[in-house]
Amino acid sequence: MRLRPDKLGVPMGALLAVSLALPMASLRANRIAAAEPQGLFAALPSAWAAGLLALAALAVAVALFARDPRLRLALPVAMLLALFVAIGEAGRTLAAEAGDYARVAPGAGFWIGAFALSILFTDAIIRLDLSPLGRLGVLAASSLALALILMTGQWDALSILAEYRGRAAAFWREGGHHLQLAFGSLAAALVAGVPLGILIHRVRWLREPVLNGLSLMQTIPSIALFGILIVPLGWAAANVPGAAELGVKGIGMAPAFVALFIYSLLPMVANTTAGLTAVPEGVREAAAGMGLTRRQQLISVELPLALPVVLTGVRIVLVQNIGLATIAALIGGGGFGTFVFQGLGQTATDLILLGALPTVALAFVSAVFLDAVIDLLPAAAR
Amino acid sequence: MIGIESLTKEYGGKAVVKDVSMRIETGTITVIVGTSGSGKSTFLRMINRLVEPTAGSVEIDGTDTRRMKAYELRRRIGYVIQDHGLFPHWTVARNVATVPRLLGWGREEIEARVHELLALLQLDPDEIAPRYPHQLSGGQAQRVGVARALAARPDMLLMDEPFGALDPVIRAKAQQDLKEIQERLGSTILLVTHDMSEAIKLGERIAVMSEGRVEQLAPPGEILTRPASAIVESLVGEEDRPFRYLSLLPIAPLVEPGSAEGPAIGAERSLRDALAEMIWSGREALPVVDASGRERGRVTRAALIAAGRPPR
Repeated sequence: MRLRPDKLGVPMGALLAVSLALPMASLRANRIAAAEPQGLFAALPSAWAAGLLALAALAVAVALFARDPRLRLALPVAMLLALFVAIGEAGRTLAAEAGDYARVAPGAGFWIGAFALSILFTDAIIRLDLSPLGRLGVLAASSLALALILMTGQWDALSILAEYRGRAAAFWREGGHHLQLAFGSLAAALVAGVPLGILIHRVRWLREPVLNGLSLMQTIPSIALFGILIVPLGWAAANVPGAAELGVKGIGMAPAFVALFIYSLLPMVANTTAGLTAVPEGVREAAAGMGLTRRQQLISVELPLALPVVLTGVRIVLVQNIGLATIAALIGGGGFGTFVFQGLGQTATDLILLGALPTVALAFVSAVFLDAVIDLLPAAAR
Repeated sequence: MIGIESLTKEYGGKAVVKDVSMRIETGTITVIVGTSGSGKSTFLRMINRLVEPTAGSVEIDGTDTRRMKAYELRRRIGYVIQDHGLFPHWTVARNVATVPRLLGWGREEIEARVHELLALLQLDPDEIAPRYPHQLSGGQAQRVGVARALAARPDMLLMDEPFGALDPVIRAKAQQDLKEIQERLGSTILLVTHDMSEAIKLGERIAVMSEGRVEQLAPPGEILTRPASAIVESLVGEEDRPFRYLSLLPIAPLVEPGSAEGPAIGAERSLRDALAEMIWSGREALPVVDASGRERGRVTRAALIAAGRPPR
């Protein structure tokens, strides 16, 4: 039998090989100075660099030729862990030589290598065909590994964590705001969107106008929507009794919350209606014919059967909101976006990453988690 | 007894069912047969008020159905549809228990009833009850649909093309089983089909519907021998008519003393079966046995063909 290289293994193996030739880390004399790229052997003690090269060679070989998905999983995981530990080591090595104000950040080589390995990692998980609980287990293990690396201080010499140390309190506070915005607007969209979806499913002539109206709102750019909301919310704060006490203001968290809510409505309403429409006609007819009341038909037959599609809507909304909540910082709404915009203002890449990386991680974890939950529903309901 | 008086349904001024009246005696099977668009399904669905009549009334044992809440009425009427309509997210047991649960039966009573019904429909309760509908074959799903309709001992059973989704072999068996269950339980059944053979096989009375009207309501023999209109005649099918008629007549009255060669046939079988056997085995006469297997005499081809010529 001829050895045929794996389809995904070729580009990802090539990417991984290239990444080793690219700068592993970058060194700056201070926080906003120009970056000097540092190659693998410059950034790391030779033993480390050689070890990493050897492991990478093995990982490329496995990516190209291995068939066993367990092997395809094990090598990228080992290499990712090695890369994560090594970048911390590089931070310590370079910082020790360059002095107190120097900043060490992961370079293009690290990011591209980590990217290629993550793709190989997820690909191996798909090939393993894990159960939903198995996927949740992998998610938990990965999160735990990341937490361990952070807690043991392995990355403390890296510039992102230097940014974090100066703002630890703000980081967690804004993280809290971010979650409040994303999950709060999701909850509001569920409470309003599911009944609206049921309504337009029942009242057919309402369907087109409502869905078109919600689509239209989806097309308003978020910045414009913030601007539009300043006027009514400002008016409400000034004139509606109790509104100001609830935190309603023209700027800040309130308009951000309302904007996210408006963007969430279309996926919630459309998916609820789509889920209900997909209930087979025979099932609907049988439910009525058996003598279920209208309410019983909805609660015990139609909604349970629509649930997977409704949850898919929840997943879309949550991932979308976690990303969009970043923009809230523009109008003083808080969230991880605060660091992104501060970083943009100061041309401090590390600060931008301090806001961006947790946002991406949150969105990713939510997506994997909800996908697993949807797959955990009884097979018959899917 | 179900009394149907001048039942009419109009959609946008166009009548789909026009002024249909009939009485359905308790414990009988009435089959409504007609082409698609004849209004037969709409007629059936007016009985359990899935369709509200434009005019006319339905009485069940003297009570006008309009005086009941629609969902209460439906809980008293079993309903079986073509693609079985089982709830895909519920097990077979939960599906069969639908109406008893709505009526608030006790847990043990429901369990016993589900068990009893699955056994009645020749489904192994221990094996089938915990399954989900997508794990059943077409024939099993159809039986579960019937069990679900029978669960709360309804006053009557409405069946809308109940065997339409089954392949011919399973359909024949399902029809036979339905007939036996109906005889055992004494159920009142109103069944809709487009298949005249099915109507003749199952119906004690057949109502032929066309363009919203009942063309003829009569026992199957009469439908075959004295069709009331050209439409009924075309539905009966000129070339199939003699065979359908033979299929209604049992062998027993034609048994004469004497003997014949070859394997025997049961006296309770139809003349159509006997003719088929004669043609296939090239015999002029068949020995006939009764239910206990005792030889009773023979049936000859001449007697059979004479009997198959309807009285004029």
